[in-house]
Amino acid sequence: MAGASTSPQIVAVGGGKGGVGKTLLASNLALALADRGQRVLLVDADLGSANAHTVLGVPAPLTTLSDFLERKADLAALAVSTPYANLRFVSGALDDVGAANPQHQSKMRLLRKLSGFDTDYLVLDLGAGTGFNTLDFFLIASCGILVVLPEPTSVENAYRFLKAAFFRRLAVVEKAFGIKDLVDEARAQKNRFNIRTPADLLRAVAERDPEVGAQVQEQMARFRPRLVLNQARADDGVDDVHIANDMASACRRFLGVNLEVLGTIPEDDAVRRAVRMRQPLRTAAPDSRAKRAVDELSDRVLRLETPAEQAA
Amino acid sequence: MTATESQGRDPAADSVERRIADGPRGGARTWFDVLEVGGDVSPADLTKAYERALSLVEGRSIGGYLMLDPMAAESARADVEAAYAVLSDPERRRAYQERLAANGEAPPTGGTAASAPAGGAPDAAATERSSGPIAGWSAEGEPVSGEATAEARAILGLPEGDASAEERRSSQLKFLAPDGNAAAPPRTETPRPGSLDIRFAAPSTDSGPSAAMPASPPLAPPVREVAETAPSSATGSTPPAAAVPDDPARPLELPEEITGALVRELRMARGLSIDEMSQQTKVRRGVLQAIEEQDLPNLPARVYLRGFLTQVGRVLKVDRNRLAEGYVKTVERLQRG
Ligand SMILES: Nc1ncnc2c1ncn2[C@@H]1O[C@H](COP(=O)(O)OP(=O)(O)OP(=O)(O)O)[C@@H](O)[C@H]1O
Ligand SMILES: [Mg+2]
Repeated sequence: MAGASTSPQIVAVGGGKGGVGKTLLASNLALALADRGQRVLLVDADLGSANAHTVLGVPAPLTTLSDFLERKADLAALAVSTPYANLRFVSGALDDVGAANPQHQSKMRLLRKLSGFDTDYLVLDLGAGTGFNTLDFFLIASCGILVVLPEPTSVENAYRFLKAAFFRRLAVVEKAFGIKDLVDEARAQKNRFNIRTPADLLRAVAERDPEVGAQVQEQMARFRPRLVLNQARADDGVDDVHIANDMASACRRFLGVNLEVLGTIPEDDAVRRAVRMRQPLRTAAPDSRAKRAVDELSDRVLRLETPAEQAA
Repeated sequence: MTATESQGRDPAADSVERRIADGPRGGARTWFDVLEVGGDVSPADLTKAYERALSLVEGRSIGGYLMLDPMAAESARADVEAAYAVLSDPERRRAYQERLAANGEAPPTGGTAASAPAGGAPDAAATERSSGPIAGWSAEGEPVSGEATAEARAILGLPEGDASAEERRSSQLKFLAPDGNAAAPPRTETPRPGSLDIRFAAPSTDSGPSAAMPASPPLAPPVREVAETAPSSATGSTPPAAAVPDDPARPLELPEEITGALVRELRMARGLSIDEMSQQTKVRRGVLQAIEEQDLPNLPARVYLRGFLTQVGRVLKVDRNRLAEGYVKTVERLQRG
């Protein structure tokens, strides 16, 4: 598995809503992967309000992604070492309004640099919201993780995020294959084809052009977001996990979107303590349930098929 | 079969039958997948799986409710009812299973695909949607920003050289990445400003590849159309002879009907061999030949064909859109017989 491949596995942690635990998961997951012997680069890609350094317990680096975006520094120069073996860190832009919405070209330059970075794993901490800048980081990841809380508002945000990411990917596929016209034709016949779900749309495309339709379906089947349910409780005999399972199940069966549950992180006071101490779970709460849950998630991430294996 | 079927013309039963005929319309491949059960599921487990599926589509589970907008939920419900109608009827189920087997699609055997138990109490979760209705999944599409093809490929992680994909497809894809970007290694180093914005349907490239494109033009049709002045008199029977002007740089005018023979004639008029044409357009020689010979079985799929012809038109310096559309029309006419 650890082949001569030069491009890293990219894990992106996102999800529509703010404050659901994206930074917590990204930072601690990066550390867990590093503990398992992987060379990891944690990138705080929350360009508006970076704070992964706080959760990780490292001083705010002086040079940040804004320097990269403004062409003042190379990405490799931004990657600072951390007190933890195998883990390097790139800080997001701090309080830099301009950097929160980088120019399209700067973003592409960053995406390209990231996908070619010399490391085993790249863990991206994304900001809240569903802007292109967030979605595109999510889409380049081979493992895009959506964090949700067991609350309707959070699920609803996850739904928005998922939908935006799906259609963004479709738009990108249309562009890459030069088939926007064809998909638009199918869209325009929404009523005739009775298009109600993403699967319906892809089928309508395939009806118009089987060959292209198959390619689009293949590309969209590679959109396999994973779900992590954070702050899960199991009291009252009702296990919050079923919310995540239901979301994934509904998406898979009825929409044709391959959402999978990666796992859960329990609601745990140790998390709040650790964040307050500005330390990762590994040092602040090594025996906590939350720490063990993140370890399990990292084991699952390590076992995920690489895109190359998927294709084989 | 549902209990409501007695009158025969019950609309709900009708729609279930229609869905059965259509097959699953959500993401599932088989009726077994719709209920997430294996081929050997017991009647009791089948009913449980049906109940669980209903709880998703009827909004009794937060997870299901919030993932499916009303339109999608209605469609999902039809899938669930159809799946249960087929699988709970021993006759139908056997026939269905045989058909799957005949198509080489054995249903999954053994336990249910999803381990999850039926969600909380049925009354648990019919939570009000906090905000107004969200636009559904039904294909309005989302805004597209103007990526160049190469960028889109980068986001998808498609290799720019595309060595693995089968030959034909890869050549098509290479072609689709404009101006040789495809063969080049991913450009990671400081690109020229604007150079990422080379567009598939960019205005003519006679100014050379280094011409800076405007920073973010909309995805508009090519700006510089050759005037549509087909000489009104000369719609003669023989398509030929787009008059080749003395100045090779000047655009040629196209006749009404675009045939393979015309494409060849134009190429020769420009003094290009088929190999040169292939080099300049990055369209494979075989495809160019098929185009010129109107060799229908060997022509690429229509969307690609359009793209190829657009490139050919660019090199021939004719109205690319008219060339592509005209040729496609000719092909369609031939196909209709
Ligand atoms: N499993 C948990 N148990 C208890 N508290 C938690 C848990 N996960 C997160 N929290 C609390 O939620 C806070 C917000 O988490 P975090 O900063 O990771 O969210 P975020 O999604 O990155 O937010 P933003 O969208 O602002 O970037 C944490 O500081 C912590 O106090
Ligand atoms: Mg955060």
